[in-house]
Amino acid sequence: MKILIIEDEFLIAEGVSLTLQSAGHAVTGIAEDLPTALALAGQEKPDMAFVDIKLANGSNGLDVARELKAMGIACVFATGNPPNKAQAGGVGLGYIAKPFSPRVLVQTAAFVAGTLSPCGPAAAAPHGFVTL
Amino acid sequence: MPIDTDASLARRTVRARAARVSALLLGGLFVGFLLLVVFFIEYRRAIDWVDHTHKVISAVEELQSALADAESGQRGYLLSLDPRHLVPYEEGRERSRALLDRLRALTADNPAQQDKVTALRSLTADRLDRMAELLRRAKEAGVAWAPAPVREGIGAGMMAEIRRMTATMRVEEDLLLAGRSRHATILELLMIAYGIVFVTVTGWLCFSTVRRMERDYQAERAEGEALAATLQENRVLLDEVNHRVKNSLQIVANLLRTQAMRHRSEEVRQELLDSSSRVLAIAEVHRRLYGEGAVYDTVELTDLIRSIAENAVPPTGGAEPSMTLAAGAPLSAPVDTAVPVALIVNELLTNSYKHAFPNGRRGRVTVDMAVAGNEVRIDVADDGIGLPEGVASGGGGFGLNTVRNLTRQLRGRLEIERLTPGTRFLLTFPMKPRAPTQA
Repeated sequence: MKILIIEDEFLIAEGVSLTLQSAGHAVTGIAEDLPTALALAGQEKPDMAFVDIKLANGSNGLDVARELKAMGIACVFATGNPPNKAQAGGVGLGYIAKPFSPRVLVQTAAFVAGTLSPCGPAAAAPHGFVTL
Repeated sequence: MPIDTDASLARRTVRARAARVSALLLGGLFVGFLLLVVFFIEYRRAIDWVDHTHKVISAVEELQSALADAESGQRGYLLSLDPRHLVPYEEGRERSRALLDRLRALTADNPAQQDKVTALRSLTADRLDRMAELLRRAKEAGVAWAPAPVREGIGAGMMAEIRRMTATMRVEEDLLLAGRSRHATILELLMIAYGIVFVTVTGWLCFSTVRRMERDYQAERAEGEALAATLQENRVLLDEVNHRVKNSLQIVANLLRTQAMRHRSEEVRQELLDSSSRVLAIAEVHRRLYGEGAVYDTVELTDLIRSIAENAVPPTGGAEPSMTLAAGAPLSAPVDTAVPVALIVNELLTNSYKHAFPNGRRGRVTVDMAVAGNEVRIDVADDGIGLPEGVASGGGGFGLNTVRNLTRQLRGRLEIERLTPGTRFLLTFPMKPRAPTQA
């Protein structure tokens, strides 16, 4: 899968990127705020994005997810401040709470890939992933 | 739970003092009210005495009038022998007697007046007797001989004496009336003045009490709002701190992992990955303590161990993870138990995955947790190649030594059993079950 990472902490973004790449995914870029995220999304057309809530330059991950969803990109929040259903408003599939393990990250990406495939997800949501 | 601030303690002291003063003032007001009642009763009594004096004066005047009527009637009969003149005489006579009785009753409080009434009664009786005698003689004589006895002037003299007596009584009563009226007027003025003061003081007391209560209420509300604002600020700060800690733990784990993946040496890479895994084990505890807007002081062990067991499974490998966890009520553990347990379980599982199944060997790793009374038992077992000789009896690397030290910290026991095949690690430690609580 082509995955976009939206995270303003470089060291977290780099770790996430390396883990996903080791699992065989393609990381299309790392964005730290809304304008960069939209630019990368428009350019690279990823299948999904991992989105942090608190971003740089006053950007909010919920706004980013709303825009990406409008572009047909599935979003999973990867955040230390998990949103509730009312806040997420149907813009994200779910969230994984920081600090998450590489296993949770990889299994979540696999679950989303299954969700996006015409056959639907092969397995139940992984432990550590919370559906919104 | 209410928080005592300096301001609230000071206010409480002032309020207690004000309550004591108010109690005193209320007591004073009550006594004042009683005094007002006493004033009123005295005033009513004074008014009654004034009325009483008027009645005595009135009775004296009526007596004079009754005697005059009797005399007039008698004179008329004596002059004309007309029986119609006897009516006013008889009426006057009866009224005089009744009035004398009334005067006696009305002046019962005044010995001097009582003596005068006694003298008056005697004079009146004599006068009435003389009148009756003259009338009897006039009836018998049948002629108008009355002028002779009238010219004698005996009756006139008696009447003069009676008038002098009644005049004396009247003067006495007038003096009493003046005094009593003055007394009633003074009481009335005192009562009015006192009433005004009483109402003013009561009004002022009520007003100042209400104003003080209003000021207290406003001050408390302002303080409450300030406290609530501070509390909210602290919550926001705490949330921010928690967010920073979570990010930091994620950064540390990722840094170690990233560094591992870039290292050429397999041994160093594995050590760094192990360290990353330990950081994530501690992070699992932290994530459960500091949730969304809530701070807890216990961690649910079953869920914690499940997460650690899930995270310990390598992404690829031959071992199939299998987990059995204790059924029943969740087991809450304080943070100083949860962290060592998390690290121990993480260490035992990663050791099994790393060492028990070399060269693509397949197998199972199981985790069991059970509670028996005040003792918790965590059983980590695999069906791999087993521990090298000497490890079970005290040897082993950094990981197993860490496990032994953490077991000691838990005041627990670690039993290592060689299985056929595989290895079993049984950790037991004491812990009193606690209900989950929010700090």
